[in-house]
Amino acid sequence: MRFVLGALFASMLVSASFASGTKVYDSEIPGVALAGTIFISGAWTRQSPPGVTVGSAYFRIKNNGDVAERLLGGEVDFADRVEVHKMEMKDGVMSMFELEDGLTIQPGETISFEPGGYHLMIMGLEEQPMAGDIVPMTLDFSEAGLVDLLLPVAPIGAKEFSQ
Amino acid sequence: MKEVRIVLWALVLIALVGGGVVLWQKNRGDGSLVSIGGAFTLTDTKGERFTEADLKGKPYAMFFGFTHCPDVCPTTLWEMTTHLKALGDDGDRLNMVFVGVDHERDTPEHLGTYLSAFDDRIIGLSGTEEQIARMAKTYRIFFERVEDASGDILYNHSAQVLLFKANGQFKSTIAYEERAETAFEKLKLLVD
Repeated sequence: MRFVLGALFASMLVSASFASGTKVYDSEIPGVALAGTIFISGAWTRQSPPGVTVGSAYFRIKNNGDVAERLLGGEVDFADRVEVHKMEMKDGVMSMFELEDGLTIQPGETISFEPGGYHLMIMGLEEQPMAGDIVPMTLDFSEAGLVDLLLPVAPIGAKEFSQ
Repeated sequence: MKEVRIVLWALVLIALVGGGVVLWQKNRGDGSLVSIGGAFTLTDTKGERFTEADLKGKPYAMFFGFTHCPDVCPTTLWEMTTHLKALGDDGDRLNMVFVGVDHERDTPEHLGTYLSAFDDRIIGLSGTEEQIARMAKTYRIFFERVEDASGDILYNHSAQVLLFKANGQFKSTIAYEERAETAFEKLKLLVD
């Protein structure tokens, strides 16, 4: 009984600290962030072609926790909205759609966002991030809350970020 | 009883003949290539009328997309830019065409601005809803306009690059997932 109560108390503490959305640790290293049990690495975005008001961002998310996490979306100060999108290729046809309820990352799971698959779609660009820049983004998770991230900007059309 | 047997044999005969005809037609179909390509009328980035006649004389690579596409289109355009650079002067013996299927936003002017970030040999074409639809049919390209939950317009579309010989005959494709080296080899073969 005491064990159950203890466990209950512990889980309340944990969920309280998660629910408050306090950042455990935000990295100042571009492309990396650790918040709660969420570890983000290899994050980058790329310059959009001229005249275009959309962009995309990519990274790997690892859920080191015991509960499922959900990436709900994000925010940047240089554009209107950030949405979780998925691109699928079927019979040579590319289709793209918004994951309205976000993307679930199961305990222990790592999900890669990369060109041709999952991507964060940045809508309504007010300013164009340029290749070589480093721009901030805040991601919104169901459990870990808001996570700040710095994204290095790759050239137009780059398939990956390389120094 | 005898009538039943005759009817059954007759049915077997019909099935055999029918099957034979289907097979014959199928085989006959395999003999000739599915027609991909042909006539189209679009507008180039200078606002001038552009048809298939403007492409003939050089082999051409053609792909379809839309300028507000965040993922596939800039990637493909960048890859094609890289390949053209690698081809060097040989790239001049090739017409590389990008067709914007978003008739609302891919205006000649906008397409021109958009393509200024890529190799200047890439020809940008756009058109009216009807012109694009007709061309997509002739070139066996699928595209559809979708509105996502936030009201943004996106296009789902065929992502392969179509390769044509100088006489306009369809040769092959480069798939989106194909390795850059293979894609480059295909383009090289096309200009050789």
